[in-house]
Amino acid sequence: MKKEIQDKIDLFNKRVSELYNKVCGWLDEEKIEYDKIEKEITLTQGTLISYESKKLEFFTRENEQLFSLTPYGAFVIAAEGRVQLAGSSGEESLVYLKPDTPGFEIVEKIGNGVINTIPFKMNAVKEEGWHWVAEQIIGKKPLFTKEVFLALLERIN
Amino acid sequence: MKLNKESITSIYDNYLIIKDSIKVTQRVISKKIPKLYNKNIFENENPLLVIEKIKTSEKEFSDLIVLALFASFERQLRDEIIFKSSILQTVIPDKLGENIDKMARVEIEKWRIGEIIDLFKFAVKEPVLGRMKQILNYRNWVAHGKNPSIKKIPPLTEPKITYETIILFIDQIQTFYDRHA
Repeated sequence: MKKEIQDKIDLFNKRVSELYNKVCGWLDEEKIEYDKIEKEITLTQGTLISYESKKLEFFTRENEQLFSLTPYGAFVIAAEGRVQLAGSSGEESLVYLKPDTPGFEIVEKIGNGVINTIPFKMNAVKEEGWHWVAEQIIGKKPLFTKEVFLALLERIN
Repeated sequence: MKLNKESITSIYDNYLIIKDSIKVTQRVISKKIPKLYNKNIFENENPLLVIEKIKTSEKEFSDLIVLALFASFERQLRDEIIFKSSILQTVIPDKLGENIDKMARVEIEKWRIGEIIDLFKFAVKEPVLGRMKQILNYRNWVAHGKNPSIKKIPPLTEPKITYETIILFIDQIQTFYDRHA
């Protein structure tokens, strides 16, 4: 596998790990008791790309499933990786995004002369990190905060 | 301009309705409320297996929505080009103009969508254009049976990103038209 691809996979897994730590931290803060099981999974994209990642399943002390976090892929359009947050009645997508490059703009030219510059935002996010792909909120992807996570838990269960 | 977002937005809105309907169904099944799913495919099935099947169906459904959104977008672009090409009707003599226009309408339907997207490079700038090309690659992979043994499966996508990219694409054309009216 090319180094560039391997680096992307390593970075994705590192970010997934950070996400898992964050979620566990939020559960602790909220004093939600849980058990978790970590499972190795293999993700493939064609015959050239195959890589290992980790899925986390969370249960109540009574062994009822709370939710799971499953890596979907490091290679997705418009983001640097995607993870699925799933419950018993649905799932939501989380994607890793970075803010648009500062000063990014569309430049209209005639010959060598600039006639217009239009500020342009593609991702429209303010900070780097995991964001929720809220399908009903067009044009925005809210940052995956503790508040968003707790709201999503109700949504997917 | 012939381009409009209504048909594309309608597909996306219908997707949201079905997606929430799936969520409600999953809730009914996971909470084991049997009378609510009598006389249908889920009756007498193991709820956990049903939930797994629904999740798989939802993924398939999501890919079909990407196809539908892209197909509707493609129709819009072709109609826009046909609309712009109607100037051919003004060729003199009239009969020749009419015939060229008729032939152009047929030929435009055969143009490759990747090349049609490139026709709008003057108005749609690289980040959007590049993302649209990636979505086209994904659409092609889905439309040709999701061959798992190809060397490189394109980056994956889903309806929201597809919808947003299409809207950005159309908005940039509209902005250009407005600025150069």
